[in-house]
Amino acid sequence: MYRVLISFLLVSTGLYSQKVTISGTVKDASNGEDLIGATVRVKELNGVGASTNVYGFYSLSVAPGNYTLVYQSLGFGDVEKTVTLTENKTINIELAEATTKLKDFVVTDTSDNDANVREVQMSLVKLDPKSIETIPVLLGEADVVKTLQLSPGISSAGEGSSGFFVRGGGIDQNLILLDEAVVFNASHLLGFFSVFNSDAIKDVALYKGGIPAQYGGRGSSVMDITMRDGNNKKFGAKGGIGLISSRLTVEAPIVKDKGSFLIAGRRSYADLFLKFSADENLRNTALFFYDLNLKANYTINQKNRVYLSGYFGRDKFGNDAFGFDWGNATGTIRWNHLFSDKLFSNTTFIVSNYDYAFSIGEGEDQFGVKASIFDYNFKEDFSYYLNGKNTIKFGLNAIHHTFSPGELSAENPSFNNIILPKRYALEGAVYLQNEQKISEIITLQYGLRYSVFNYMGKGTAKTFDNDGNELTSTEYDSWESIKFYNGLEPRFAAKYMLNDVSSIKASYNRNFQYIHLLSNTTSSSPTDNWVPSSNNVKPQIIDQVALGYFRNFKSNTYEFSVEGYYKNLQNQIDYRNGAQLFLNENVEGDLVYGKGIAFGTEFLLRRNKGKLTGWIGYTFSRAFRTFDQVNNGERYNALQDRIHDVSVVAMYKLSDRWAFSGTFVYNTGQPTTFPAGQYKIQGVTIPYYTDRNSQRFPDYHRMDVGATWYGKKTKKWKSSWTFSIYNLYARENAFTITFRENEDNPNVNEAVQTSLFRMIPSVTYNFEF
Amino acid sequence: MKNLFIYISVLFVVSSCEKVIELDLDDAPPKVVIEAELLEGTNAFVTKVSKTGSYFEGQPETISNATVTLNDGTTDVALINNNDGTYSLPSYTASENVTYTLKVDLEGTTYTAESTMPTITNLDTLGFDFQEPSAFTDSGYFCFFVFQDDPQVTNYFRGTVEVDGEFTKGVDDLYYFDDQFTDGNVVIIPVFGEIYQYGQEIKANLHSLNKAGYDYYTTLDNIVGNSGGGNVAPANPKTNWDNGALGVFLTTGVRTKTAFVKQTL
Repeated sequence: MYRVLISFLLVSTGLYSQKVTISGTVKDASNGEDLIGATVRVKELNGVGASTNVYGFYSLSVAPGNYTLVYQSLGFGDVEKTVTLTENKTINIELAEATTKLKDFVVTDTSDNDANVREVQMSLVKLDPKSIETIPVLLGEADVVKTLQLSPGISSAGEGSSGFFVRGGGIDQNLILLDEAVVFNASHLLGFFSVFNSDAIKDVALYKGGIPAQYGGRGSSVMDITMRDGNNKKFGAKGGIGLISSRLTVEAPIVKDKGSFLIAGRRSYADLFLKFSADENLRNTALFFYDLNLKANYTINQKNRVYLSGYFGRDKFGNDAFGFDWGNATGTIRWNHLFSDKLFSNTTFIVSNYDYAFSIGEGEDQFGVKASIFDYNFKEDFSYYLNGKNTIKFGLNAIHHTFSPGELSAENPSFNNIILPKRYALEGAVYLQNEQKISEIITLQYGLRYSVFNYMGKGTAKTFDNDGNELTSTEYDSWESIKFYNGLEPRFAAKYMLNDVSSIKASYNRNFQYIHLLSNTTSSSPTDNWVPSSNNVKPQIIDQVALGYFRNFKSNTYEFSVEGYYKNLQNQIDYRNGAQLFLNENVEGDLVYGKGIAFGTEFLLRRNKGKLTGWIGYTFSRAFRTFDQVNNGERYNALQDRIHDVSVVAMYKLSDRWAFSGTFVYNTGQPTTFPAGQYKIQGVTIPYYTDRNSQRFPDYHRMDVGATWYGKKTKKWKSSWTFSIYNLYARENAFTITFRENEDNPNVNEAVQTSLFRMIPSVTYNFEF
Repeated sequence: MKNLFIYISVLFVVSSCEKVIELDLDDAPPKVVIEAELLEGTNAFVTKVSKTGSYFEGQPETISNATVTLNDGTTDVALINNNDGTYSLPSYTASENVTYTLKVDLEGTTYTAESTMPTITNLDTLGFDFQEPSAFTDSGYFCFFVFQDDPQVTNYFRGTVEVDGEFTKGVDDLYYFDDQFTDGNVVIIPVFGEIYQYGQEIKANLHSLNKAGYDYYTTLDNIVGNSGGGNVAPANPKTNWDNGALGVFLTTGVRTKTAFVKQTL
């Protein structure tokens, strides 16, 4: 046995010694930014290649020999490099933008961007902020979240909202990461803007399904946003001046080619218009948001690189009589370390905070309320490029959550100060995943994530009866476990190439979600509270299977895909009638638990090259929930149930100076509960409700158009004007539908629809130098 | 929060619009509605029985063939049928901390509700405080209920005001509160944040409710005024009636103060 083992080891090391590893980074030649998802192909070996990770790193093992390596990335000119490989080698490559050599729109970029067919990952939407800057959005601000909402399977939580639903999942089931830090609330100005400044963003990847094992903590999707590193070649600045907000980004090398920083800021000034108001109080009202993105990175040597990134954003609304402000803050420190050519590691330490506060009144009448959630987060992630066929990822994650559900402080002696006790939890996970190329045709990705959650003291754990009345109350000391949960989260994905241009993919993932958002509005509100799983609240468990067909046409000019999915949701949360979510110590007594399902089919046809680019998406989907205490225990339409959803995005580049764009969206109206009868109490009409969400809002549709005029480009200066019109044909889409007695005749009732935006024109001036 | 949302968006782009629309609604089968409020002290007691009607077409139907009985734990008292959907006792004395049961027999079904008269909190005085105009109000006086809250117990209140003999707010604009933030204090709480003018005669009523009554008003308030739309899922108010009847059987006590508006605080 011993000999067998020795000889096996010899053979296997012998096998490995026959391979050499090429590794390195791929960067943008103009500014030194890492290129994510750039590919390296070995021309002589069909099907042998690698792609770069989010840090621009790649690693590839081949037998010694003479090869031609082809480096490609969408939008960049190809680079070919001939190498003689006898031992491990580091090759760092810089790619130049294809457009810099562009003449009369002959695209020199020949990259066969067939990742959608060839990669094992399905249900992935990738966005490059550069490619969306001409897409018209509300108030003229390019916005990655609003643009993602135009993809099949992702729908907006409401008119103008930054909240979104993925495949029938709730707003809180989206894991939103900005440089690995969790962003708890992605909305500015109650959703009209997302918190992400697209000038500071390099890459956005949204996983609707087939979620890889390195991600966890939310049930339905992962939105992974990577901030730009900043130009490490030379000083640069870009910015924009719009009707509602302006932004400025400054970036420069710290040490040329070794380190750089970026600072991006935005400030809205909607309230400046209030200064023109005749009303003195409106003149004194503040209404704005600002945010700051900061990032710095430094390459210490070939094996070590450090990153520092931060986000700070705040909304403010108020005047002398009241104030309301809220926002996110995140900070990330990362250290990339290469243990060897094959073993890449990243160590991350993160803090994330979301809080809101409001105050009402002045002097002794003043009272204020505040609440927050604060996380410390540690992550250790490894990528082991074992050989050409296997890429192993493994790592661990530990989070300490502090929930501050609410504090009321009052100057007025009539009011008692109320401080709801802080709540604490530890969340952890380990994962292991292998992506294995079985053959040219079949690739598998299989992994397992094991997650744990410890809800702990210091605190009081209460139990409630079926009607939500308090039964028992138990005190716990600091760090004493109140309730422990754990779960195995299998992840699996497979790809089968039908031929060179088409494939079939399948995936399954199970996700545990241990923290939950309590909200009693349809779209997200700044005062929504995050709560941990506890002795009363069980973790949400969401399973999803998906199957897809992928086909590219005309040498990847067109991408077509159709995906079907089925999702099972356990331990979903709803509220009792009349639940008090605000400053309620016994809020868990007001919660009820149920289950849900969601399923759908998504079609996408996309054109990636040429003067006309864009996509057409259609989704048929349903989403249902079932709660014992709701709707007599019968299944009802979930808020996310949109049935038919169409989106069309078209961008047309007419010339060097003009680009046009247009979008159209249509979806079945969201389910809602309307009165099914009426009665009178003390002479007032009271609506009588029966089935939950059995009716719907009118169908939603809207068209937006935009045009961009590019100023004369000089070596040092680029500028453009973007004009856009939101809701071109002034469709009055329902934001709310309310019911009331007719003013003149109280015996007649009427339904009243409120629409928010009819035809909003806007103009933005953008510059870059 | 929804109003804040609309307020902001209106500030943003003066573009939002409201219009009356045509909607096809389901018509649910008629449901029994029983509305009764028993007041502490000696008062007339009235119970209204009706059935729901279609929301847009038709009116709620009054029900005159029911039998209504009130019980104070020992004796049954039958209410007089006025044949207009109301059933009444001209004079009935109800006391604090007594549990009352109201029974309605209709078409073979008995609907029962039970409610305990709460301890009534005294209204000590009314206070008035002059306010400069603000973003939300004109200049004028706020009116304050001033009373000693009973410590250690949860108290529930509703406030109503009559100005020069007219109720300012009805069920469609409810004002109710509990002592979650004020338990055991001398409470000085503004009445609605409504503005009154110097010299007006204000009659302010502090209604003491029990938990069921407070829950009823809280859940009623979620759906009156402007219902539907922003709330995730509107639902019928919580009731203490069994067998699926709507409405409520309230037992409340009212304490009233009348004053002319002038600066007092």
